[in-house]
Amino acid sequence: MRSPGRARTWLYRQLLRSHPTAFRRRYEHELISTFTDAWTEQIAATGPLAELAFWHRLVSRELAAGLTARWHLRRESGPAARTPLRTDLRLAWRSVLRAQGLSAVVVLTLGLGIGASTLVYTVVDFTLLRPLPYADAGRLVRVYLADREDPGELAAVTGAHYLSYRGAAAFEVLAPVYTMEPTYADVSSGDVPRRIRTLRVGAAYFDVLTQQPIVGRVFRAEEERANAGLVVLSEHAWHTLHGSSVDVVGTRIALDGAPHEVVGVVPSAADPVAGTVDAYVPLDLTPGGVNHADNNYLTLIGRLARETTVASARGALAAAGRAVEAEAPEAIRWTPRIIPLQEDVVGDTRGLFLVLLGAVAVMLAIICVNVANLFLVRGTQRRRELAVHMALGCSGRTVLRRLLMESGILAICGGVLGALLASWGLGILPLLLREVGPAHLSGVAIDGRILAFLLVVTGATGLAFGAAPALRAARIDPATDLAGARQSPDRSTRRLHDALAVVQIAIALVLLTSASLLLVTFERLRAVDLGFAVDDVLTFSVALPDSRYDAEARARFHDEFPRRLSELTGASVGAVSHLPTLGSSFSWGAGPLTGPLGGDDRGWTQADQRVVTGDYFAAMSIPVVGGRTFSDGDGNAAPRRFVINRAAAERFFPGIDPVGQGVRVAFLRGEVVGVVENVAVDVEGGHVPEVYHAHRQFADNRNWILDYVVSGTGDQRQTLARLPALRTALTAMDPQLVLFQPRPLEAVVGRGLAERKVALFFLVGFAVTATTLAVLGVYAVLAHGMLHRRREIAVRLALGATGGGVRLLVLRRALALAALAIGIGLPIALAFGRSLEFLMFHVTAADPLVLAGVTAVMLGATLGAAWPTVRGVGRIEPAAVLREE
Amino acid sequence: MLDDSQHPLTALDFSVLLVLSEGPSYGYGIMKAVGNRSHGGLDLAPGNIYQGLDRLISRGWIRELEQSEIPSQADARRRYFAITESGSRAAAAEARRLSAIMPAVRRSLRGLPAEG
Repeated sequence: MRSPGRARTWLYRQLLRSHPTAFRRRYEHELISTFTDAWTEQIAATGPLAELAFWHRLVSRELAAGLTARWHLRRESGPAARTPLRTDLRLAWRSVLRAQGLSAVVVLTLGLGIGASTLVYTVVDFTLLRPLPYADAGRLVRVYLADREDPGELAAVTGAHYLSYRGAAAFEVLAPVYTMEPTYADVSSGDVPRRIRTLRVGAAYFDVLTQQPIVGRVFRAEEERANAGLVVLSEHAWHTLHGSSVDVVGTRIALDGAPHEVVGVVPSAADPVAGTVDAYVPLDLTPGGVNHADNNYLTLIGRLARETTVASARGALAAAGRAVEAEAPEAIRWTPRIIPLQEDVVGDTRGLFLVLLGAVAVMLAIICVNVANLFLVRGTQRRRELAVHMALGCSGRTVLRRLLMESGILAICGGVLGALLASWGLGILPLLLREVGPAHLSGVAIDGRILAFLLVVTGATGLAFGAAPALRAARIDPATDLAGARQSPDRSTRRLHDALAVVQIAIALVLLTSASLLLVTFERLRAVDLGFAVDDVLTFSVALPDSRYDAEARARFHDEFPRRLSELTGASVGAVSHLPTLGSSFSWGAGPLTGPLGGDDRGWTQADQRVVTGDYFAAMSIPVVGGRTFSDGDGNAAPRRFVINRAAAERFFPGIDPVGQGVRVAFLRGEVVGVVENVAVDVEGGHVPEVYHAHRQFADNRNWILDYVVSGTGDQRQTLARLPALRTALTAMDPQLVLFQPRPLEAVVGRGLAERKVALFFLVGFAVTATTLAVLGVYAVLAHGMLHRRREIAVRLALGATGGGVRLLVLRRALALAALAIGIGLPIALAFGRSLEFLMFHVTAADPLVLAGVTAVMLGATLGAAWPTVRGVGRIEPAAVLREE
Repeated sequence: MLDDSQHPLTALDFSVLLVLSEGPSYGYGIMKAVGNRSHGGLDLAPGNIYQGLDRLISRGWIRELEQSEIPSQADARRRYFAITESGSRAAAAEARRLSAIMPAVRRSLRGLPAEG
């Protein structure tokens, strides 16, 4: 029979704490075994609803029984039996409850601050602080080849280099993996073909990441050859494709139509570079072929031997590489470079996460300051109450302890709220960071380490905002405080209030500046003319399996499919090998054969190669500047023809009409038939010389995976509604093909903005919070200050000062605070902004408009915060105020 | 001052005494029997039961069995409780008190429909 298990027993044990200690000690064992009996007999075989009802009953009955017993006990034993600590706690709790509004605000702000900082810390911890989620990750490294002439330039490793490196004793194991671009395969299982993520790996790959097969085996060295027809599945794919059946080994699955024999299953684990993988296939590592010394295409990861340093391993690889140089002299330009894998994986996002950590720390600071300020203000109001306590014999220490307990209680409540918010935030974080975070970030979860951090932060904030007010309160002198009930706060108290308000405005200014700089960056990026229509264009990709499509069939397919889609939808439809804004692609040497620079080195340059079909230029609204785009006549039988972009035209043929001129691209010679406008090669709108090829003339070069673009209807929803029809059209052409990743074009070209989006999301959130808090803080300080100056103001008014005059008094104070804060905040904002410059575009940290705008906003916010007080001061009736005394 | 046995007993104490007068029992056994006896009217948590047992022990109305006294077919890890002489007397007194007031109760409730 089932027993309730550890978690339920633990929960029940906690419930028992409501009982008096002596009773609990006497019967705890019995109580728990009774609970176990009851659970086993009544609940074990039922569902969750019955269990819920059971607990509901149990909790209410047990709590009622325990607390009633305690209450009786206390009444019997009288106040003398209570421990001082308990009394303090009770008093502190009562005081927290009495100031409900204040407590709620404090808990809410603390919860926000603690939640946000926990969230950011969790990400930083997972990416920067803790080792990668692989066994003995400290010894994992990535190997690059560095150019001797230009050591900053890191390239992938060649097959020849790997083959000479792999015996090196400096490594326990060293394995190549292909990550230059994501690879996929279409799998036919069931009725719908699906595309899964594949990874080509060397046999030793699984040893590097210590992935033991669950079923079967992994690859052997002799299987590292082209078209080995073998596959290792991830546990996840095993589940979805094979229902986790153990006799999967030896079965065949068709990847892109080619049969592959399943040799084993490994646990699902993200590849450190490529991310989540469904299936592994062997890399072709036979010497020669693609593995010559000039083809840098392999990502090399390895595990250093024990007691081996990166430097000595580098020396060992350099020595091993001489064998390559002996055979292929051009390989002399390469020298190995070893980077710890964690450093390599985290790489670019490091800066982003550190900025976020800084920002969240700043926000937490402002929250502490704010809460401290609220407490100080309240503390002044409570002087009388505390003075009574002390007059009745309460020591300063007791008052101090009690006040610290109050802040402790609030901090704990804030911590609990923060934990809830953080765990909720972690749910959406992977979505937010999907495009920027390192591949293993999807496994992020709150654990003991994070909870410890949460505890420390909560304790620290509790102390931070509780200490100053408590220390001040402990210095209360009952005689003076009781004598002068309406006594205004002394100079030092006022100065402390002011200082805290100034700090808040300054911090808010810093965050607001950073957020504004990013907002401006976004605006500028959005305003960049990318050279094509981004909105309302649909895109997806189609890959044709080599096993069923030779070059001729591929050319036919990519001619026919856009034509059919176009007839079906009436839209312009085309496809390209590499969409704009996603970076360079196939940057090959190119230059003019004719014209003024014909055959001249000066015209020679690196140019991006893009392969197009259908009405690509029309679908993307890329203007044709001269000549024509490709037509049906530019087939395999026709001479080779190119379309070039404006940048290439200006470079190759300055001052003449490029149409009809000759161009050489790597090994190809052909004629320019048209010139099109430049399109952005990245999100910042940069462009490079580009040469477009007609797919049907270039299908034999390689199996190009084409990204289709379908021009819009003018209404985004209608455009997306075309998808099912497009899918049907594809199935009609070939039922085994996949219409992969259909989405609006803007979702694809926006990818480059992802990192900035994350930073913007957090910074704007922090800045808004900080500004709100600062406004609240300023309001509290001014309102409180005026409360104590009512008498002074009444006297002034009685002596003939005008309402306007006293209003000015308040305004002047608010302005003084704001001016001081801006004076302090601006230089810090400038420095903080500099650390963000790597995310900025067409704006600098010292942007005068941003700084002026933020200053104006902060001034306005301060004055706004002062407004209620200013109005209130004007309404003071001197006679009434003076009579109160 | 009243003798303990003359105090009206709580429904729980009375039920526990009645259960134990049928023979020794342990925590969950008592809890179940009390629940059955009251037709679910007394819905109790383990804490309620042990508070009752603790109270009854302190009055000397029930006692905990020694290891050697525990019935052989029972689970030796549990603590068993049995009613004492004075416990039996208290239960009987309570029963008498209840039956003594019953005629008065019936008279007052005469106007009401009989319980079905």
